[in-house]
Amino acid sequence: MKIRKETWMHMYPLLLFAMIVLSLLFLMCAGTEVYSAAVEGQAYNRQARAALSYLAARVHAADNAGAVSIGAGPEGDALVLRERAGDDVYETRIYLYEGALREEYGPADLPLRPESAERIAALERFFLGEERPGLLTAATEYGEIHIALRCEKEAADDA
Amino acid sequence: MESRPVRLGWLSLLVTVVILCLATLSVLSLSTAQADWAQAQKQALQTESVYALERDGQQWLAALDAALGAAHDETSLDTLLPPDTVRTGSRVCTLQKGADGRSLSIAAELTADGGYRVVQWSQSAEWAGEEEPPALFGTLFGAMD
Amino acid sequence: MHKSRRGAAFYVETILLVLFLLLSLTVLARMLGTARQLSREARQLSCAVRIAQDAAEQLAASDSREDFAVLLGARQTEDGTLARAYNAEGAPAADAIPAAYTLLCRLEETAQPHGVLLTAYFTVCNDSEALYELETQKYFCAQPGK
Repeated sequence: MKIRKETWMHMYPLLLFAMIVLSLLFLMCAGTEVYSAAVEGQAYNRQARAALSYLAARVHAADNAGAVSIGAGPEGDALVLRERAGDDVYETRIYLYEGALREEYGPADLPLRPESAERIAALERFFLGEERPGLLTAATEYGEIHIALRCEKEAADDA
Repeated sequence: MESRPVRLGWLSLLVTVVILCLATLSVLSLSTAQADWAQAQKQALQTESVYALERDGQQWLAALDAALGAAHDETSLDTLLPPDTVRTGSRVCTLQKGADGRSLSIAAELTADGGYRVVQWSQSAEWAGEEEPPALFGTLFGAMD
Repeated sequence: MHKSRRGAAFYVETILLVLFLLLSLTVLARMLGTARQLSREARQLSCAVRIAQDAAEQLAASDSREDFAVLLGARQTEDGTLARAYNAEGAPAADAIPAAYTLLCRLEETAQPHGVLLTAYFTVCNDSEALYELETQKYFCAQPGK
């Protein structure tokens, strides 16, 4: 009886600390999961904002009659934003190239130079379409958005 | 026989180290999540201001349409045009300003049948500019010149 | 006496350490829980903003109130509000599937001298609360093509 009591008195603190260490380890696993989820969520939201909101903002800033159109990029579709400076016509082209959404600005008659385009956001899928005249759709792995053109399209020949 | 108590020194040290690691992880998680939340809030506010300007623009269109319908000639049209509207020949323009440095530039071509055609609807935001660097860094850069 | 004093000190130390550990665990668990909650709310808010903005753009491209309802793919509720279901990624979902987000759109028409000014109040909700609200307008000229 005395030996059992002594054994229990020795085991008691070990058991207690074993429980605490186990709970710490459990919390460590949970904490690791929460941290990785927080970082992944932040990265996802940041990339989605960079891709989708950026596209909408660029179109809204360039919405002139006949200025916005869909062209061909090196790996699919390209969003073409045309602007006139005097007699010269310049284009901003946004397209997918080597796993990233890229933007290029230059004279309208020059071919694309994807290697020197500015990187906007990491992207794997980029499709453009026109659901109806004046309503563009942009599809990426972060979702699909609609961008409305408020300007009339009849003046396309003015661009 | 003398019984020795269990020594806890190494265990306490281990547990303390684990607690510290866990505390670091928790602080990092919280700060990351807070930053993400702040960015989401910022985007939400920016979207609200974009469409506040959109509302201003649509109201301007309604006022322009009303002015075109009520005007008999160009002189009366100029008096009926909405505020902050500039007419140059058959083109009317306005610049609607939002609360946070955003602006909406609208231009419409007046048509022969007394209507209009929107030819520009562009929203832009003024660049807020870089914040002033703290005095210490300013002093350091100044000393390097 | 000496042995009992050593034993008592050991138990006091144990109790203090256990209390410190419990306090730390409570605080840290709460922080992790808050971080998880904030992360989820940020994701939901980002998605809600995207849904509302998408609907606002569809209104801007529509030709009439009825055209907007068709374009949005929304169903009309009993009080005349338009409702559309979305999945967890913010893509439109079939009404039969439990929705992660619901877009509610209340429309108000204001008569203008030569047309109608339609005001849309968008509210994006999840199961329990409204996540985001957005208001926009669209002017419909009485003479289309004008």
